[in-house]
Amino acid sequence: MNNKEAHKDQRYIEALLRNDSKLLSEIYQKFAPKIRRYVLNNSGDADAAQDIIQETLVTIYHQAKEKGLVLTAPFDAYFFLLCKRRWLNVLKKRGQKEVTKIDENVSISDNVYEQAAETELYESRSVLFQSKLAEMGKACRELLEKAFAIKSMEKVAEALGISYAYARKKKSQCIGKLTQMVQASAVYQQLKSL
Amino acid sequence: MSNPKYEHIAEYLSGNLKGDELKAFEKKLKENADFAEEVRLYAEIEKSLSHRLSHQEEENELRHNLQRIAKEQTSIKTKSKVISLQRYSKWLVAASIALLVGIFVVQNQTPIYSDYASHATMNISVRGSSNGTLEKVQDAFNTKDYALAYTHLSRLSEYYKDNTELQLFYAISMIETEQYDLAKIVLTKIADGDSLFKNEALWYLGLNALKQNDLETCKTYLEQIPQETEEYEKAKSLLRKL
Repeated sequence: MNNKEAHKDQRYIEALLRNDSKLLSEIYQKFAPKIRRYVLNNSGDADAAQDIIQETLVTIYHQAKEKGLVLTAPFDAYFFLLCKRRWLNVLKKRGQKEVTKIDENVSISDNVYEQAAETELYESRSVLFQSKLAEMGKACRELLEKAFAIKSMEKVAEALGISYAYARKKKSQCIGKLTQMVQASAVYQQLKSL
Repeated sequence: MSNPKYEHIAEYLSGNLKGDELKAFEKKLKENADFAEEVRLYAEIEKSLSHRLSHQEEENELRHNLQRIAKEQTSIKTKSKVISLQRYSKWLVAASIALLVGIFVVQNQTPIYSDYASHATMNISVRGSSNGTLEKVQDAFNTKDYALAYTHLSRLSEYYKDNTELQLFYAISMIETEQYDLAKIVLTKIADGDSLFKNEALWYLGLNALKQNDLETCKTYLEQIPQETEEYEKAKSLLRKL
């Protein structure tokens, strides 16, 4: 994935990584109005549109930071598709029928679909991992939360008042348990077959 | 309860599995697809959660900035709609005051900085930020303890050098603590860019000069503020008095 040539709009991805206000304002100026119109035309309000835009940008930020997302499609189409599908998901959860009054038909290439699908898959997986972590017993959850946030297992052991060797052993067992929980979940089976 | 399988996976992933144990592990990876999938997923989960949990603060800062930008842009939109009315009512008020007061007070009134130094409230603290420095800055600024705000900001500003809003507050605390040259450098940078704070920076460059009684320089900055901006009205009224 990283050897693909980046689209010139990669600068928007980098703006998210740098929290660059100037370019982020440009994203809102250029791309948000279309998304707002779409949400407003499909039983949503301005706040809902704002949520959709923000959550989508945060997801892209995480994918870029963790996975080194390289944009090969134009940002406009990619971002709009992601926001649109996220909004349709919200409507679906509310039990509303998907009535799309306006579909701004920009020609969407396969490339855009692929890139958007990749981002959605990335998000679904990380959300799944987080929700399974939240379901774990307190001992594992606390140890893993500390281990993932602090990184140094020496410090984690110290904070929890256990030995370093035991903390490491426990950590691997807890991630193992988590792996089993993820594998057993229906959502994971669905994601795998995508 | 001990399950050495996961300890082995952890050792393998961290590159600590050696010799025969490593060979056996690699053999199993090759021959057992389910095991290979489990190892892959184990690694993905570890990487994903460790990424999320160690970037919470950064995520919060991004969220905060996005909220601010979104809010700003909606306020720009609504403002441009009501501005004509506002301007009209301001003129009405101004005209009636002029009538009441007459001409005799108008002369000999050189404007002073403190009449214009009503700064926006700083509201950029980050939810869940661990060290709380941003909160401290905000408290200091909003309670007009500009020296303290400046001290905190000088530590933060390198880290937030792309955050124009914060840079602007930094500059204001410089003006308030009479560090005019520094303020001018920071403000000029903002004014030369094209952020949403461009015109506010011009306004403060003007105030920076006004506070030093350099009325001519003050004028040149204020005259650069374009019409139809929030700062234009303020600038116009100050220019009239200069």
